Amino acid sequence: MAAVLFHTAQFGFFLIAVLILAGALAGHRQARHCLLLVASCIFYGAWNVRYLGLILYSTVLDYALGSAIHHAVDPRRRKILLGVSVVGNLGLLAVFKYYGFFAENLYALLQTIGLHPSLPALRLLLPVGISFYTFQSMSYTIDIYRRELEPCRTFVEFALFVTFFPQLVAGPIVRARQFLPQLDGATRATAHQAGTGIYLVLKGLIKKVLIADILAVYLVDPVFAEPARYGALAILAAIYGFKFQIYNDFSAYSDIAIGTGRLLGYEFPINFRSPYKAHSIAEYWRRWHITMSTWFRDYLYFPLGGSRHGLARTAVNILITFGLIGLWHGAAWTFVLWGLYNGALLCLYLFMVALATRRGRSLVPSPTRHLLGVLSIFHLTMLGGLVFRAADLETVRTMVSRGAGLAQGAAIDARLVLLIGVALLLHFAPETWKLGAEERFAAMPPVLQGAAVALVLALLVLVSGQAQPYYYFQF
Amino acid sequence: MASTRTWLLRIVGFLLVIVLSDAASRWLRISYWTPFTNDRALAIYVYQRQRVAADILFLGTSKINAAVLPAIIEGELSESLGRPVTAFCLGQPGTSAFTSWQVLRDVVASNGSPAVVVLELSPASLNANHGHIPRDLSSYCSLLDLVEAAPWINSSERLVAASGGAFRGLTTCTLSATRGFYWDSVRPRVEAFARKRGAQFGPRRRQQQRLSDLTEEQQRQLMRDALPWGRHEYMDRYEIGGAPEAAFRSICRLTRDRGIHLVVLDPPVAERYRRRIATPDESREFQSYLDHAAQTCSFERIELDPASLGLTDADFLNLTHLNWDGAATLSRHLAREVLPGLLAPAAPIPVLPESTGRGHALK
Repeated sequence: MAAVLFHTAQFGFFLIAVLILAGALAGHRQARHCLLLVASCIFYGAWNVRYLGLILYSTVLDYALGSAIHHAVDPRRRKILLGVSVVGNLGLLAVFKYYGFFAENLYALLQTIGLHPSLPALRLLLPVGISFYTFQSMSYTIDIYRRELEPCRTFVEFALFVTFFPQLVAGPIVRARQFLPQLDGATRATAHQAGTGIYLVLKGLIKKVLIADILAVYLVDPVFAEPARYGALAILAAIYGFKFQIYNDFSAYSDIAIGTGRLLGYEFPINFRSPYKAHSIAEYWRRWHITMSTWFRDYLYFPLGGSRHGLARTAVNILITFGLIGLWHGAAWTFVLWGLYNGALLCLYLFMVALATRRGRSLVPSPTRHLLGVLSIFHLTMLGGLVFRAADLETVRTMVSRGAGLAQGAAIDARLVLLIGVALLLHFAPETWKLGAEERFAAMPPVLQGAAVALVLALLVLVSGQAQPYYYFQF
Repeated sequence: MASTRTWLLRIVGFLLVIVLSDAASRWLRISYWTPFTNDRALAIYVYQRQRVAADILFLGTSKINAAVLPAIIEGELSESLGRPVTAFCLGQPGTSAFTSWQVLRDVVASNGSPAVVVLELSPASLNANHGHIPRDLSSYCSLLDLVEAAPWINSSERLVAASGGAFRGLTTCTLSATRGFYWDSVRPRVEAFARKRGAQFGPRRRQQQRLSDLTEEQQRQLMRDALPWGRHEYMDRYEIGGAPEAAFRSICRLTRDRGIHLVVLDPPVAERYRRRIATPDESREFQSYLDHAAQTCSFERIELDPASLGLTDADFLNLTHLNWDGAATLSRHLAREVLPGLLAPAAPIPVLPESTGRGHALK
């Protein structure tokens, strides 16, 4: 697993080797693409060589179907080919990710009507990043079907798009139309890309190791594992802590992925825009895991009809979309519940907006309402996070009852609360400061950039006894 | 486009920070400030804070930390010699002679020379393929150590470990600078090490575990737990050589140059474990090496026979470590039979020119 974790020395050596070789092949586009494809396969194979076959399956399937859809004239044939792509990709997910969940629930359902069927048990390891690369690959055939994209010219380029290692296992989910044109462009990073790329990698490493992992290991994991042991303050701290752990963990991966892409001369779409600054649930989902939410919007919500058929139908579409977003995250009812909870919040918001519009009220909130909106969205999504993180609904019940009942119990290290405070300040810092820091770093003398890399890596060596996997690897 | 020159300048900046911080940590003598990653390093910190050398220094692994009670040795020797005697344990769990050498070299440089160094040396201590060498590279080596150990960084695992070790100067400087933030949580451990003079136990002996009190199944479980370490982690692809053997020769050279008595011993382990841990071939190779080394290096070998010392399973905490009673027995034996002759004023300590200690190469 270590080789696919960005914050390990193994990955550091791997990246250095790839950067050197890719730099040496800067003038040879095809050779460079082959190198990056091989490097991506090594990257994924370091986790599990056998599961490379699954990526190959998705890649070959969608490459062949993309071309077939493009050349097909008959609309019915095009639709059938698209159907094969969707079923082929979702089938992969169904077997490797959801089989156990569906089998378990089917068994429970049949038991309630007195049947005791013998369902075959599949002991499959969940392939890392399967939800990401299947969606990425599937978007290619859908875009060709919609005539929004020309098929890829070579298999190597398409395979590179599906397997490209910086974003392979936990996103951002890159669309073919965003990535493939870049393969025709420059074959090395610009000075600005290199500078901001290093900055983003360092920023991601700090977020992951100094914030997310410490919160996970010393606060969130122990409290969520045994909530009955802890007092109300510890439980509250763990719930807040998880809010910042998951953001810093996941956005760290995106930062490092985007930064690594830039070091190689490629741009990936932004995945997070300080989501906890959102003052409405709609805005929250425009800031959180942007590439996933836009994927579901473009490929599910809009085809379902979006908001074009009245408020009631919109609400149904939202609930379907968010239910499936929940399921995408994991094969458990807690994830589905979390998705529906967010969908319900969004429906409620839309009804309020509709009501305000009907009454002729301004939709631009006053500063006070804006602040109240931020606070309420922060806490409402935090409640959702509780369901998202808990192993089962019993854990949720225990945590809520102990937290609300001001229960006595084991305490936590006060420094962890300080860390949550630091994470909060960093998150709510003005965007101009954040962007300014990125630009200032890129403009710094290269010697100082190198020194900064050494300092950050030293901090990582110091803090990370054992590299923790990224939270979103499980999805 | 990002030019090659820009990348080279970044690398220069990177290396400059690494080298300067390593030099700073050596100059400030804070090289063992790594309490998060290396708990036993706190024992070295406690020892270095003493500023003066102990009369007797114990080096090795957790076995020596569990086998020796400095307080008993100090009491016995002070009484028999009629002067205060100090002892300290600096064993580092699971390490080879490679780490013992680095610990000795650094504490001699910071505290001066002890009169006697008791070095734990078992077959595993000299295994070129000792499984903890990567950990030693990342936890104990300074930048210069890594340069010297370069010939033995011959696998990807060791390379990754060494890359972590390269940051040690920087991490120790950072830890030292931010000490106020975590010191309160470290203090109890520091005080415990100071109280016990680095030993694993004592001075009290409450609620100690006895191997003999465990059921057969519990003992079998202990064996299942211990063998992967003892047999595989430490003894896999057994071959005397590499960094551990070079380190042992460096220890011999340093003790000879400094006029320090070097005593080599292998603390006892439970009989059933001893039978499983080293094959006759490995034991023979080890004995033959020591015989050969004794011709060129000056050290005293102490053979410890558990039966003649009266050590039974009741004196063991588990299969590999003595408990308080066993440690007390062994400590008294060392204090009465081995160490007095080496500490007595008439003991023949060779007078050789002093060296700085820090500059010794692993050759």
